[in-house]
Amino acid sequence: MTKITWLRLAWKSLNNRKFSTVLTVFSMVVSLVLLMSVERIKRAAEDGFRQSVSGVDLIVGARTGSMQLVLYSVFNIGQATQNVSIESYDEIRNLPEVEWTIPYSLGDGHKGFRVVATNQDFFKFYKFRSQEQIEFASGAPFKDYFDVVIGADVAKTLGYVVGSDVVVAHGVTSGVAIQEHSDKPFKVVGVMKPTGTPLDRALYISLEAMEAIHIDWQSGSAPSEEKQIKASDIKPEMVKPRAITSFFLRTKNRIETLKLQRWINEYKEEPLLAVIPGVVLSELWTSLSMIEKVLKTLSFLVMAVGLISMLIAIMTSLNERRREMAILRAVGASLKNIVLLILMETFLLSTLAIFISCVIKVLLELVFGPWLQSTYGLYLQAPIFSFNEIIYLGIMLVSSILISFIPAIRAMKSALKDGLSSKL
Amino acid sequence: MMNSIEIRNLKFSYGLTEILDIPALTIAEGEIVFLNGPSGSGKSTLLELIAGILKSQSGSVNVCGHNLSEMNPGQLDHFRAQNVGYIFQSFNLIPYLSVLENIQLPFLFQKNQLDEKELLHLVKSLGLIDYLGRAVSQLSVGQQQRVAVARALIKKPKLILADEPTSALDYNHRENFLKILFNLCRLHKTSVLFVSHDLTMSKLFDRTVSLTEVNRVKFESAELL
Repeated sequence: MTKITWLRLAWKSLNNRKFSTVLTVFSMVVSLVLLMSVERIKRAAEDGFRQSVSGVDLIVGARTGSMQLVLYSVFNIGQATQNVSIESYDEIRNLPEVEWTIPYSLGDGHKGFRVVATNQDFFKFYKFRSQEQIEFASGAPFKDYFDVVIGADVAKTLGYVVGSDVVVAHGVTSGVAIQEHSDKPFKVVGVMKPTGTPLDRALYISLEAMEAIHIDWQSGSAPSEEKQIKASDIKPEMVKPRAITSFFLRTKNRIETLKLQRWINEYKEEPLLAVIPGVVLSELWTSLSMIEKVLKTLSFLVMAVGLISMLIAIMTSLNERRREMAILRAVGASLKNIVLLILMETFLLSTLAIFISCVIKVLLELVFGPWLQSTYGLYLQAPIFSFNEIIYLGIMLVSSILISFIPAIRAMKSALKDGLSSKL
Repeated sequence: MMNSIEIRNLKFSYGLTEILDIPALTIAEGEIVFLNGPSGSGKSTLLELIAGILKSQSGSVNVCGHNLSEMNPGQLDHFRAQNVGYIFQSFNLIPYLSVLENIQLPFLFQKNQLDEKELLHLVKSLGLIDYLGRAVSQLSVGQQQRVAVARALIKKPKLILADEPTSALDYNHRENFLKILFNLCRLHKTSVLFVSHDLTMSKLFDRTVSLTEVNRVKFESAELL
């Protein structure tokens, strides 16, 4: 024989008011899904930001601001004012404590995207999101002088595929180019898979290619036609890199990092700056925390709306339930029992809303995850539920129970006043 | 023999409006009493005082050996759960619960365990055995009142308080309902205080008490209440 329990009573009572229960749960679910989505997107953006580059112990460039160095080296934002001489770079990369380096030479662009000159180590060692490496959607790394590898966003925006021609613009990364290296066009040899990092929004050529397109330029100006050096006439010794903008560095032993950083920062031959990218990226994200605060405030407001709608739904149902309360009191329910019943109903409503919202969140991630990845470069990394999201769910549950003391006490007072009156 | 109800110098008012002033009223254990009075004469208020829902301003209400005037709200709730069965005029049942769940309801609020054999015996004697799983809304008014009787009797209370439970029933059903109720109450020596304004039923009871006679407060028009 099935026995009646508090849970069953509360559940059946809610079920008896299906419409208002469904609306209440719906409003709570909407607020929770919104809250968790905002948190998830924020987390994806933060992870994407912090993990734009991984496995790099130091970023080294000419002496400038640490944020500026990270901004132009990692995010393709801003310009370097000074370069690092190739001699200094060679000396540092050959230090015994250095495992590998990736040189970066910046300055040119193509239709709004930055052109980065680097070497094969870029494809070999560059990592993002902890352990992910560069992969190719089609083609392969550059080999010849005028080969170019393009990021996924570049390919998608400009409609480029392997074999497309690319003319690099001199000195500009956005807007219309005034001077172009049209005499030395590049050919796309590789299209990188989307990474959700700034890598997607750049073109990659070799350091030698960067030298080659500027070989006949003088004082920053394009050569006249008669002074132009044809691509076919370029010899390897003519395009040895003389300077780079910055380089990424990995030490053999992490303990060496701080020592090496200090050594580079005190480097006598040339004023250099070495920064630990993780530290600067965290500082940078913190400086952008205003956006995070606004998002969080909005999320909590949404949560408050969900809780208020639950409160309204319970409050409005109380008048209809005066008779029910009178019957419960007549069969022995104390005023405490009446409070407990309302709290139990709220607990069920919140638990149901939390469960449904978690299911919806997981489904939304499955359905929209790839779209967020391809459209906005937002990678939804594991775990599915962050600690913050679990805290939010807990806050929702506890707040809803605390808030339900308002209708519970009102129901108790009403039950006390109404007694067993048959006129209800 | 112990009295089920002993009322001495009971006074009760709603604000400044005096409702009850009863010098003495006694109901013996196992006695089945008809309490008569016009609508609005304070019958339901008296039942709520006896059930421990309301507290008197003065005098004493002694029910089943408990002086309700000396009990705190928690003790009163416990007393009601243990000793009193209540049957309403109508809308007696929780509409969203089944017949069985409605009958089991009192055990949710007390520590005693439900005796399934007794429950089956009770529902059989009330002719409800085939309806246990049904929603109460699917029952006739007469059947619903029998469920209310089963719920009131299942915890073997010492006192049943019935507030016009037959007003929605026709004559035949009313007599039938009362016979079943009284048989079961006599079997368990349960006292009954049955309230109604319909005097035609009084012959079925051990005794009839007129509230207008025992209450010193007189209303020009009881309906005003």
